Amino acid sequence: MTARRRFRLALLRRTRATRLRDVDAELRFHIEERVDELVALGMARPQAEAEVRARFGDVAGVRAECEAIDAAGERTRSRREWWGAAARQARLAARALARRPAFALVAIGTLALGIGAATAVFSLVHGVLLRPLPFPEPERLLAVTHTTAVPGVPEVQQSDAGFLLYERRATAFERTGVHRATEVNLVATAGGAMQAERLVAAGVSASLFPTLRATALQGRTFVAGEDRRGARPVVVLSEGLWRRRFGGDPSVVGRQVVVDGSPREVVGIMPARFQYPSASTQLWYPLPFDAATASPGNFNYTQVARLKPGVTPERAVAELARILPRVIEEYPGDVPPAMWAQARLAPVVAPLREAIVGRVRGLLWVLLGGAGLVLLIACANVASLFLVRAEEGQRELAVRSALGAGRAAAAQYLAEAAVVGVLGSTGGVALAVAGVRLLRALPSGVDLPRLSEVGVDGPVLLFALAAAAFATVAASALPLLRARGVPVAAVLRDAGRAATAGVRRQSARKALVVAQVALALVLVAASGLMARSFARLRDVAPGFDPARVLAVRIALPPSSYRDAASVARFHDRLLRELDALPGVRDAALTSWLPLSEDHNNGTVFVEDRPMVGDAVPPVHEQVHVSRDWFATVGTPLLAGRTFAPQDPARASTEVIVSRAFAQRYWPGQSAIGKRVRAGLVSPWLTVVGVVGDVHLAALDRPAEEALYLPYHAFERDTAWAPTSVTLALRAAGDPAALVAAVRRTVHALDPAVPTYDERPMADTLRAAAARTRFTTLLLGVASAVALLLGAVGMYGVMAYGVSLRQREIGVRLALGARPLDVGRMISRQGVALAAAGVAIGLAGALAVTRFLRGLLYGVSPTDPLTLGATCALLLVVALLASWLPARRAAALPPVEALRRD
Amino acid sequence: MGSTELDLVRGTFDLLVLKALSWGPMHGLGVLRWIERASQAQLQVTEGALYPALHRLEQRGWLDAEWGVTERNREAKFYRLTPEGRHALTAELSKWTRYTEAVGLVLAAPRA
Repeated sequence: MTARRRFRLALLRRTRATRLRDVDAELRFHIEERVDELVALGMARPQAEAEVRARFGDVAGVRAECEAIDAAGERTRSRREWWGAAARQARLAARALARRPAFALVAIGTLALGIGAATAVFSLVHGVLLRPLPFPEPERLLAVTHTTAVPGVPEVQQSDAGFLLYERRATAFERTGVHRATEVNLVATAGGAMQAERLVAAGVSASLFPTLRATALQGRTFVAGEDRRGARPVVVLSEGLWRRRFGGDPSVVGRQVVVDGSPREVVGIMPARFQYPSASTQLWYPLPFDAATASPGNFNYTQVARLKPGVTPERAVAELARILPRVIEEYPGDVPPAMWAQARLAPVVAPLREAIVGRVRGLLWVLLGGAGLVLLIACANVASLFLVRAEEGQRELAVRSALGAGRAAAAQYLAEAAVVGVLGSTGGVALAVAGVRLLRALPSGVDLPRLSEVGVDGPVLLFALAAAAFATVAASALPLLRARGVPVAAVLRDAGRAATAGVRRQSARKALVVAQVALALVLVAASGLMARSFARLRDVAPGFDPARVLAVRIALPPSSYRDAASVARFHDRLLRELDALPGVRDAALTSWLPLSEDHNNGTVFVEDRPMVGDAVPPVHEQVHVSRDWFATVGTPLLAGRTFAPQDPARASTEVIVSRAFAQRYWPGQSAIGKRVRAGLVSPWLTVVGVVGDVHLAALDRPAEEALYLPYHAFERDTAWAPTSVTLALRAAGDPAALVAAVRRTVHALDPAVPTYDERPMADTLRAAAARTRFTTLLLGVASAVALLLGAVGMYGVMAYGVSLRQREIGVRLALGARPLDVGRMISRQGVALAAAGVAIGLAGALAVTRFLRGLLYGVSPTDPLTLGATCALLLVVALLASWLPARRAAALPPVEALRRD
Repeated sequence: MGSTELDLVRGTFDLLVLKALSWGPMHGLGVLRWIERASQAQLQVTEGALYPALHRLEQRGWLDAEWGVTERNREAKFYRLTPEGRHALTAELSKWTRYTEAVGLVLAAPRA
């Protein structure tokens, strides 16, 4: 066997053509030998050839089969070899990293921090904003609202009349339903003496569940007709309530429970994942809709609709706009047609998901942006660490490149980055899991919708993976690119003079530091703006004095308190008894606790400002309060008096207005004695007092122009008084200590009346700034991390730069330079770098902080004070980070410095 | 043609190929000739089936192949057992022996 052709080495890179050539050669040999055999036996060559081919069979088929087998085998082998090489490479990399535990730990920890932060916030964004609603075909679900031309009322929800009209006439919808969030008292069994419980509930149309295509866990949802007046009273419970109150007993379906004093049959249980309209909704009951009494102006319902397949939202809006004007003909109610026309209602639809998460969208994107910046800074930091590694290994890399093993050396860098990436992202995911748990447990005060759906799941892990891949590439790309770009000869030649060459090669790391400073500045500026908003918000005078005031909500079951007089009598007795409690200075009640969700407004007519024609009357906030309300919560009485003592059985015609209200209608005059009407059919009410302005709805909105009515004011012909009110008690000492006594007092008067939501007013005030505080807190954490990473990066660059210039520093010191001069020279460089970063970051911040606008209060996104302070802070941090290595360098004895290198 | 039948034939055939090569490197035609000779011409191997078998065994790592020149100065691909191939041959042989013994026992068994 001479002239051997080694085959195996070439195997991995064989092409299909060479494989076929080899198979051909092999088969040709076989056939020619056979033919020769037959010819030697005396057969003529042509016959011999025919004979051999016949015996062999399908030559072409065998040829193709052999080639295919070889190809498959080669593929498997090369795959196995690739993975083997990768594993070997990873082991090598892990060993190399283990030899530098400080480098490895800092790199892995930094990445974990960046990936963890980004992943945790992304899981929030994904769970709350991006994940489809948990209903079938959620993209066809819309929220339907209306814009109006009424001053101060840009948007209204849906009316019962509007719902009935759309349900009958709109052809664009497959189904449509409405709901209204309420609270109810629940007693578990009919006639039972169990204590009542206050629950968040939703009154719904029977079509709501079919519109969402939600089905019950046990039993059924509502059927058509159950939402008409006079239908059998039924109720559907949430799985949570069912398990908590009934131990998950399936026989509850079919039993009676008492809701707001009336027995209702439980017909179904909704699964826990059904959280609509909100996560806290615990039971659903059908609202009665009655075409005879429906009113087009009764905008108390939230509407959802499911589009028919293939119908666009635009077409639906066009159709609704066409049919809406008929509502006033078909359901006249008590709205004058001319006034209706003035209101110029126009239907608007939005994807249901947008409607649910709209309030927090800006907040979440800002947080994700912040976390993204932290990730970028972390990547820059790790890249910077790898650059040092690469520079230290430059000589080795150059030698290996010269020997033709450049690829292998490059692969080792990549492998090290990959190992750091894998470990860093594993740590990051663990951090994210912990972070999400923390976020969910954090008493943020921000009612994040769908928070229960948030978790580290498939798509979130995919995000973490992408972040890790990005980080790995970012961390390793720069050193690799640089290693390739440096001529081998130059490195080998420079190796003896590492100082100068090293300084030149520092430029990439300097660029990274500039980027880090710039990114950190954007974050710090954003959190600075949020912090200033928070401070401003805390400085807002709410219009009341929350100190030592306890608020307690109570609700009277309408079935046992049917008329205003009985409601007023109960409240009167309660207030008297509360006043007598030891430790209570004052007791009062209100239908609308400031800064809570008890929002109530309505049209107001002012006697000396007659409306022209059928103009739409202005809308103002209306609050029902007891006489002592203002004194109890510390809202000053500016003029006149508070309400006169009143016989609960008689209507009051007194009203108190806020200062803003008085100033709007009677500027420069006394408001006392003027008359207003709260609604078209209300009697004229006389202003008896003017009180200080209160921020009723929100701290970050102007104080309301409000009317205060006595809590047993009578409206229209039917006597009406609020059954769900908030008690306020000013305590002599700690308000929280009063809770038990208040509960006992209410319970003694009527055990069926639950007390709930007991909390000091100060908490309510704090909660009003919750979103700002939450954003401030999270951005603050992010910017602290960013500052720390930025400082570490800066310190690293400076320290490394100093180590490269040790010799030069030694020479300078030996020639008589003072340590101070050397220190100054070094830190001047650091400050120059920081200044470049600050300049770039400032431009970035100006571009980016406008996204904060919706979250800011009383601060411009370009607030010069905040931005200036931020720049100063970053410069100081940079100065510190560069001064430390400089001081160390200067302190070294010159001889020592000269000896090093 | 049922697949089990084919597999059985192929498995047996692989064993014969391995056995042939256990005596030293051979080209495909050599393997064929050896089997014919050893079986005293009782086993007629389909020539077309031989080459896929050789390639499969080579890709599995049981055979190694080298190009060489025959006594008559022709280029031919010579196959050789690898150490793994030798292990496989031993294992296959013992399996085959157990199999034939078991079949023999069954065929020779009296009526129970």
